[in-house]
Amino acid sequence: MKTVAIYSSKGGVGKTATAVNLAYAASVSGQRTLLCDMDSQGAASYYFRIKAKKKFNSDKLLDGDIARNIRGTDFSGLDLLPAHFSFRNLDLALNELSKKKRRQALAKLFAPFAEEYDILFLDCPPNLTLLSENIIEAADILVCPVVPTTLSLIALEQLLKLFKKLNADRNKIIAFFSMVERRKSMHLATMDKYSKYPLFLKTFIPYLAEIEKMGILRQPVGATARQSPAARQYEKLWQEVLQRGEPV
Amino acid sequence: MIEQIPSSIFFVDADFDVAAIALRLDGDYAVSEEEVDRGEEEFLDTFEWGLYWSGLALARRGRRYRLFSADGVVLGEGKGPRRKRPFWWDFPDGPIRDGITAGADIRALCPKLRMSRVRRSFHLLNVDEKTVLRLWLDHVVVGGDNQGPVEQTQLRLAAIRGYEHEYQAVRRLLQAEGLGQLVDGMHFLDPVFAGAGITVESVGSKTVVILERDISMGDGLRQVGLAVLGDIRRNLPGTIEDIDTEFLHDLRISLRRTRSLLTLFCKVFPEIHCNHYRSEFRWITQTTGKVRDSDVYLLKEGEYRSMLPASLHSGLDGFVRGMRAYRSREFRAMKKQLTSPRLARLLKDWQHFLENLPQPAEVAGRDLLCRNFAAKAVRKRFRKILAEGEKLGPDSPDTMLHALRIEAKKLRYLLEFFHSLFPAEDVILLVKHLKKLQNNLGDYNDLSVQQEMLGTFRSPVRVEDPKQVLVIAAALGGLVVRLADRQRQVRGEFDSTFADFSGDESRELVQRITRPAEDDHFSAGEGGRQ
Repeated sequence: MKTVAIYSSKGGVGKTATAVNLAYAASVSGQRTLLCDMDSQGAASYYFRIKAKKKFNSDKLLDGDIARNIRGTDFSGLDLLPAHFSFRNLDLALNELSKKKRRQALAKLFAPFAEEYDILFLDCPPNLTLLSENIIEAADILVCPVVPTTLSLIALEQLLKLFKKLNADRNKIIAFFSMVERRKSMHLATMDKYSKYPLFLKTFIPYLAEIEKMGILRQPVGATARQSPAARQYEKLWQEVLQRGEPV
Repeated sequence: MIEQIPSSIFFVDADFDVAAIALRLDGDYAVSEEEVDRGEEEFLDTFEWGLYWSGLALARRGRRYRLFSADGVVLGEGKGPRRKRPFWWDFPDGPIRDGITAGADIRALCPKLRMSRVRRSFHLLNVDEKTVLRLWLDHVVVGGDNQGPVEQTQLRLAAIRGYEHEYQAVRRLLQAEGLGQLVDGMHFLDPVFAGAGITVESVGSKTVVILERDISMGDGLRQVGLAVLGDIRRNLPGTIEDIDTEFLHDLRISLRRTRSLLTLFCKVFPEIHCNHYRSEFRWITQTTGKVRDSDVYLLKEGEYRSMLPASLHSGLDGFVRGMRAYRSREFRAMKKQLTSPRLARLLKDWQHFLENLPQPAEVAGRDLLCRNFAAKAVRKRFRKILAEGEKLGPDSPDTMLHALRIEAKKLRYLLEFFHSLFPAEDVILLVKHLKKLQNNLGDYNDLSVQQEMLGTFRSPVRVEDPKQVLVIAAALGGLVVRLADRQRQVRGEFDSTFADFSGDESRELVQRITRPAEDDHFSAGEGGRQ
């Protein structure tokens, strides 16, 4: 099982849309996929119309009570571990663990699923905390959506700094431009300046109404229309992530 | 541990109303029909139902294939080979290829059942319009067994992880209606096969004969002979059609078994002239030899390739091309003989001979129990193996090993023919020991034959380029060296293999197997002349 974290410390860069659509693309290509919604807002769970069981919370998550809280989505080969409101306190709960355990806690939690799933996606909340360190530890690939704006690039820079601080392998990071509006000259100029760096993938995700509509239709763009431009773009993005990270 | 997702199949009427399920459940549910899929579908399996016995089913519509588990769950689907009877290696990488490899082995996948199918897919939705249960209504029509087409409708439920409550609720609902259900251990195609009059034969290339414990020698031999004749007839059409290499392989086993039986007949009924059958069965066995040999070399292509450095692979390709051409030529010749009136007459006469074997009353003094006769034959053959094996030294000629191999084979046939008359566990154990010896002797012989053939093979394909001739010669030379090394190694293992076989355990097993039962009215020593 390869773990792919969709991560950025900045909010509103399209993390959840990326996680949902890449997970869908992976499952359609035959990989047994689990998407873990780590964000207490539960947007990924909402997109799949899945609610967590009443007794599920962050304590249960950290206790390893995961298997019976995983739920099947409407799509074959794609399961979801739904978010819970209590996940907002995950950092506090991680902090309570012994110093030795706390950074690897997440990686250990998902290790028992290695046989059952080919790919584990982590849809991460926007922060730079102990949870982020856990995510960096657990992930084989860290996909970072970057809106071609200054603030989003700063978030990427912060991530690189954190990697350095943790002495983590920078090759894990894969960035791509997200929510690109080609009519905005700033977007084009930023992409022009940064896309030469090998950190960035060639594929970018444009700002498209059909991605916005996921909130209304509550399903991945590929499930609504497999051949739509957005679905094709996510499919392409997944292929490039696969190629770059060789996760399978 | 991998979470098992429950599923079940119910037998329903063709007009079963799936939408009505939602109305009868407690809570706010709806059923949505997702798609209707209709068309002609055929199910493929090996001659011996290898996929069925592995708990699988492979369906095909045009070039679209779908692999099912025994409980009807789709394990994989996708585009596959165009050929009528594909092999597992014709499939692209993926779950279908991975799933069928072990069950299909080297056998072709042949169409076994053709059906017209209408599959309607449904989702049970909860109040959030989330799918909480998948349902399929499969209506199939198959050609019946002399009674016109057979129709059947199955409703399949597949739970969704985390929503088992809804699965159980619907299941209870259907059970309360008294609907029939596919029980655990049943294959989802079983009811369709039963309706269509298709019998799934048990796995194995040899028909297993169960003889009554007190059967007379004549009747026992007749039953075994007819069963082996059945194996010959079973494998003949597939050999002639060249469906896969196993038909010919199994045909040759049946022919050799027949010849071994003939030796027993000649001993038991010396007044009956078996010579005609002996020479005719020798003729047909020899007719099939060259094609089988070339099959063996072609099946070993991958193994040979791994023995050679990459620089000699093109030479091996040249050899394989030549071997294929040689096989085609020899196959045409073999097919001519297998479809000849001579063989048809031989099989007909042989059947007549077996069915009209003299009754014990007609052959005085032969009213022996088959069990005693078989026991004596086993004992004699075992002793002969021990005697011949003990004579073998490190410098003994290959002919002595060959002779021992034949004796071991004869013992194996005896144990297989008459196994039902002996204590089952002892026979299984003795055969297990015997197999190890046979493998050693068989490997030695195969390696010897291969070296000789590779050293003398003359390809019917003319190779003009002298460089290519050299590369082929180098590849074959390389193989001969590797095979000779391996043969020396196998020869070195003979002493310990034989010592294991000839040890006390095998001797005790033979004693137990051949010990006469207390209620027998013949002691082994009183058996007929042999």
